[in-house]
Amino acid sequence: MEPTSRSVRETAVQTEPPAIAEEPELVLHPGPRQYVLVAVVLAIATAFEVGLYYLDMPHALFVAMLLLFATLKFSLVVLWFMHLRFDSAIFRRLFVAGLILAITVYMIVLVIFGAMKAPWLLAIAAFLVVLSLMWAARARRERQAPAGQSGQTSPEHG
Amino acid sequence: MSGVAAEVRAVEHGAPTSTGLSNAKLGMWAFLGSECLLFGALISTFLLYHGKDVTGPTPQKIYDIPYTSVSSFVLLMSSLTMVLALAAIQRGDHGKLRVWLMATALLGMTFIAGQVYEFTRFVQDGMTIKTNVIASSFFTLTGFHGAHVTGGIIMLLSLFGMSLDRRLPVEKAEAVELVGLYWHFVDIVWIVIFTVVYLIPGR
Repeated sequence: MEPTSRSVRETAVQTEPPAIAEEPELVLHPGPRQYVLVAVVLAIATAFEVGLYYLDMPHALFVAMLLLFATLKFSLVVLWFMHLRFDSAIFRRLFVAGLILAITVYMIVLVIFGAMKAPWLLAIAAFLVVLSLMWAARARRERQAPAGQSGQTSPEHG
Repeated sequence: MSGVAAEVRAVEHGAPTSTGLSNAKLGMWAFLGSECLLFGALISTFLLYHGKDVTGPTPQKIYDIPYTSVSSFVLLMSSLTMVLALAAIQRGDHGKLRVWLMATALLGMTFIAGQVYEFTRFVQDGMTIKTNVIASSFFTLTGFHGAHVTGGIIMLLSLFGMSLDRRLPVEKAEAVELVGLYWHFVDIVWIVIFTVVYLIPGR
């Protein structure tokens, strides 16, 4: 990548050049085209959510579909825009630990205080377990894949 | 990479660490993990009170879903402009970086302006933070989120100013990435709030 003259100037004004790690971490990020595609999917999912709001359907189905769309949007932003799909597995573990802890603790609180029915708790827990298993299976596949095929450049990537 | 035509976009520079990763980024992810617990508590408090028999208007009776949908869309699209700003600095395009940073800040300000308008209408409809427990938890949750967005806007404008002042070279792309992580986090929190606090109880 050829730096522009402006970037060269901007680099030059630094008084102390940054220390460069012995083995700099290469990070593969998608390009603007992929980002725009993800944003289009996010916009469509939001339109579906709002559309569902005005549709006449059983409440349980309405809630289940909205939660599904919210999960899709949440995952797309976290995996693509926040690069958890591409960055080190340590970042993913840190964030997912907080997320799962929060979901677990507060769902239990809601069930205990009667704001959520136990079947909903079980359904969401089962959904999370399935997601985790799929995630773990994908990570295992990538670890087993020969170097260069997984698209990752750091041993920490998973 | 799973069929994705990706490019090598960034090489992270910095002092060597025991993990081989940036400590600042590690700290940001730990912070975001802990923020899940903060917003989880606020959202569950709202859900605990939702449906309780209270006096006075409740949020779900005076929601304006089309209006909030547009606000949500604005915040969602600000995530796109934020990630485009990061892509711009990683390829050394400082002009585009400034454009996307300012676009993100403006979209964030639009969202906050919308929230201020929504709060004003709720108060005019007789629902204040003291009206009942549901209104209290609603204003606390959305107010906390709004404060986070405001903090993000200040960070974005700071980055914009640094870039104008030539103090944001390519080597400091991580600063944009960290602010981006924070910004996307407030976006995903809103994705949950929009579904769980607005759409589901509002029907």
